[in-house]
Order: sequence, then structure tokens, then C-alpha cells
Amino acid sequence: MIEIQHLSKKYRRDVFALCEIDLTIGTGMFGLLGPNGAGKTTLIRLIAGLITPTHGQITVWGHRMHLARERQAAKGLIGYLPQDLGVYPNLTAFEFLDYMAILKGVVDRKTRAQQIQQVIEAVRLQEAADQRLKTYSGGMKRRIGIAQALLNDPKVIIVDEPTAGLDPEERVRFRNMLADLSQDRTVILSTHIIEDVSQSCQELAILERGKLKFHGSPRTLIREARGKVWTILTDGQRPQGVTVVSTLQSERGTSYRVIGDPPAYYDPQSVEPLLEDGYIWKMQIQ
Amino acid sequence: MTTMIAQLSGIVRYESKIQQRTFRWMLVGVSFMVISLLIVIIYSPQQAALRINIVDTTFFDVEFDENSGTLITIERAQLKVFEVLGDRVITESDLQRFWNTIPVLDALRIGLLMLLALLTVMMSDVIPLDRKDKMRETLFSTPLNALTYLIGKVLTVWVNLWRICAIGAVILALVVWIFRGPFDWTLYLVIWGMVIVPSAMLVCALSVLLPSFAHNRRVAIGFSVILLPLVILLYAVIIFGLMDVIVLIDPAYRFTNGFLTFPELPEAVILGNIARLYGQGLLIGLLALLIAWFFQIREQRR
Repeated sequence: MIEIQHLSKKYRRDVFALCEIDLTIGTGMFGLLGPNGAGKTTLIRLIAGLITPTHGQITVWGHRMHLARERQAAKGLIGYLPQDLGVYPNLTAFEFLDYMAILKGVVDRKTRAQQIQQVIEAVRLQEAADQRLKTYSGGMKRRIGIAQALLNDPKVIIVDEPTAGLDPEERVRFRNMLADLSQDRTVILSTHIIEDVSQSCQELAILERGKLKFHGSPRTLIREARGKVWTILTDGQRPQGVTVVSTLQSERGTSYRVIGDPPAYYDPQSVEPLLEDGYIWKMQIQ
Repeated sequence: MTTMIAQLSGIVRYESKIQQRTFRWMLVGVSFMVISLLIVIIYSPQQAALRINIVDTTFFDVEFDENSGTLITIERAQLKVFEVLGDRVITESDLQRFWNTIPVLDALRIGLLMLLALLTVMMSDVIPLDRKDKMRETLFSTPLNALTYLIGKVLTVWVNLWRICAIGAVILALVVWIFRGPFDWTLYLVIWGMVIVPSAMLVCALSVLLPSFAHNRRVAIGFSVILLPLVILLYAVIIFGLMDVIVLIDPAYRFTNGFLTFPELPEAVILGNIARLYGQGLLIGLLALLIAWFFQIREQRR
């Protein structure tokens, strides 16, 4: 359980990366959406205890993050995969995971070896475990990143843009793995890829310019966009006064999926919204 | 506490591996050895004799072959300089051992300068390298605190330094033995243990901690170049302060004017100077740790 109260973060004078965020995140998968610069990474770094807030407080499983001692204890409960994951290129995957397990406080050698074996199997890297990380592809590095986040059986897993750079098959597998993990813990997934959220998250939040724009279930977001999503068929002329979500060329003409209130002369056909439509409706129309 | 000790041992274990696999320590060790060995090999006994200023046989009854520059006679070397050595009679082998030790001391002295300069530059990016490898987020998302991280980094370079020094001391001793013959083992080990290793440890700590604010390797190395004059000053203080230990080993070394700093000082004063120097070194090291800690904390508060 994560509780966020009146959270603000100011990097420079009068520039708020986050402003007065109130959020409660329970067990299950939680999606964090928002455009670039919305404050997603700042929020994630604050929850992970990597930076301290300007105002407000965060509580992770009862540990208050603004108190140094409790923050250290909370970090032991968190598995974090940063957006820009770094690895030690001269260590093998096994050595890297062993190092991270030691830092996470897994002192017993046997327990460590067992956990490493489990997470390596979970990310399917058994065959490459003894290879140096500099020989790994981007996707393999991502997998080793999630493996280190899983060490010490964390109660909270925070993943920032985890599927960036993964091929579609890998992305689906990765998403399913996170969904499986969220059964008995909190998984916070920050992403640009709305499909990842729609396929796996029970709850989501949308940030824009440091402010919380939406908090609720994907179904609620979709419901809010109902009656605002249309298809318009034209001879190629782009419809005006609406937000075009997608364009599809066909023999009959050009079909546009739009959000908004298109004029009647376009003969718009109402369609059932998707999560992406709901997100765009929230971001652009409101 | 158990977790912190485990974290420190983990950092030392794996950071050592990372550093060894980049071959930087090998480069430091090889450079030090090349300089030291060259000095030992090219240094002639005549130069040693001139250096200690006793060719005129005021104290020693010795002669040199003018052409080859080698020592040809030591006529019993009956030395009775009472104010220095008391009633002790120097034997021929004593004198030869003493003679052979002088180039070793010079080699170590110049080698130390090389070692400190190399360490200053090559250890400066140990912490900025984590930024370059984008490891800081991952490291600090664990219950690792900034102080443990910094201490771990310093301990890592120390462990590697001790390894290099142990290997270097053995190789250099063997080469000296082969090229020169017997020399003063006690003095050799004391110079390593009391002068070279502690001063290199201090410089390593400073080189790791002070440039830790740098956000990339280039800035760190640039900063280390600015640090170099300070390290050379430190070297001069160390040489003049700590080389006095040789006077404590055998008063005969008072004649080695290259190292002779306070010949008239009693042992207690020399020991006091050495203790003070170590104390100052410890203070400088702790100050560097505080500065680095401040930068780490500030970075996390941003």
C-alpha cells in the first residue's frame, strides 16, 4: 500500500515537476500515464526514495519516506527498474544480480543463490547468466533489469518504461509477467504505451504538467470518452475541429478515427472508445 | 549493521572485479614497476657513494674503479663513528648491504611520485563511472546509503592498491636481489609499509572522494589534474616527514643525504613527527569523506 499526500517537487525556482499530488495505490497493477515532462519519472523516483519531495509525504507499507531510517527500510521492500537502466558491462549477469542482492540486504549466500536462480529463470536468461553484460542486447538488459528488481521478493515493484525497446513478443511476455507478479503486491507501471496499461492495469493515473489529471480504473476513463469517439469517411480531406487519433486508407476513401464533436456534415459514426481514446480525450479535449 | 557490513563486502568484492577487468590497476602497477626497476638497474654504486657523500673515506675505507665505477675494495671497513653508530664495527657484508639499499630507496622514492600521480588521475573517475554506466539509480534504489557507498568505493581501491603493492614489492625485491645482491630487507619493508602504502592510501582516498561530484569522467579527470600539484606537495611533505623512519632503522642511513632531514633530532621527535603526519593524513581523508558525502546527499535531495 502506497499513500501519497500533498506531494510536490520543485527542481528550480517556481518550476514544479509535481504539484499537490494525492494518490493511494493498493495491491495490483497500477498504470501511470502522461506525456513527456508530465512528472511520471519524478513521481516514481520519489516513491522509490531516490529523491526527496519539496512538500508532502509518501508512505510505503507504513514507512514514511521523509524519515531517513524509515526510507532505508522502505527501500528494502521496493524493486525498481529505472527508465534508463544501467548495468556494469564487465560483470556477468550472475555477478551483477549477486551484487544487487547483497546491496538489498540478502546476506545469506545460499538464499542469494536460490533467489538469483529463480529470477534468472523468471526472465529466461539461464543460458546467458555467465556472459558479461556488455555482450547483452537491449532486450536482455531490460530482462536483467527486471530480474534485479525482483530480488528479495519486493512488496512494491516500480517499473519505468519497461517495454521500451522490446520486440512485440517480448513486450507481451513482459507485461504478462508483471501482471502475474501483481497478484500479491503493488506493481507501478509508468509508460507511454497505453496498450500496456489497458491490457494489464486495474487502476491508472494520468499526470499532466505535474498535476494529477485522472485517477481511476481504465473502464471509468473509457466510459468518460463514450459518445466522443467517431469515425469519419472522407475523400482524403482531413476533418477540422476534432482530434484525429488514427487514419486508415481504403478503396472507399480515407477513414479517420476522431475524438470531439465533429460537425454533422462529416456524417460521423459513433464508435466504442478504447483506453487510448479515453486518454486522448482527457489530455486534449478537457 | 550486519547489512552495512555485507553491503561493504559486496561493494569491495564486485567493484574490485570491475576495476580489475578494466586493467587500470595493471597499468598503475606496471608504470610504477618500470620506473622503479629502471632506476635500480641504471643506478651505479659510485652514484650511490657520491649521493651519500662518503667517497672521501672520511667514514668508510673504500675505493672505486674509476673506469667501471664499481666498488673494488672495502678494507675491513672499520667504522667507529661513535656519535652515530657507537662501538659497532661495520663488516664488509654490512657495508655492501647498506650500499645496495641506497638505489632501492631512490627507486622507491621516485616510483612513489609516479605512483601517486597515476593514482590521482586514474582513480578519479571511480564514482563518476557509476554515473556514466547509469548505475546510480539502481544502486540507490536499494537500502544502500551514501556513506556506505563512499566507504565501499574507497575500501575497494585500497584493496586493489594493497594487491598491487604486495606484487610490486616482491617483484622489485627479486630484481634488486638479482641485479645488486643483498640489501636491507627490514628497511625495504618498512618503507613499503610506513611510507608508500599509507601515502598511496591517502592519495587514493582523496582521488576517489574529491572528484565524486563530477557528472562525467572528463570533468573528474580534469579535476584530478588540478589536484596533482596538491598531491606533489603532499608527496614532498611525506618524503620529508616519513623518510625519517629510515634513521630509526639504522643510524648509518643518516648519511643518505637525500633523505636526511632532521639528522640531529632524537628518535622521540622523529616518531612524534611521523605520528603527527599520519594524524594529519587521517584528518584530510575524513574531510574529503565529509565533502564527498555532502555532495552525495545534495544530489539525492535535488
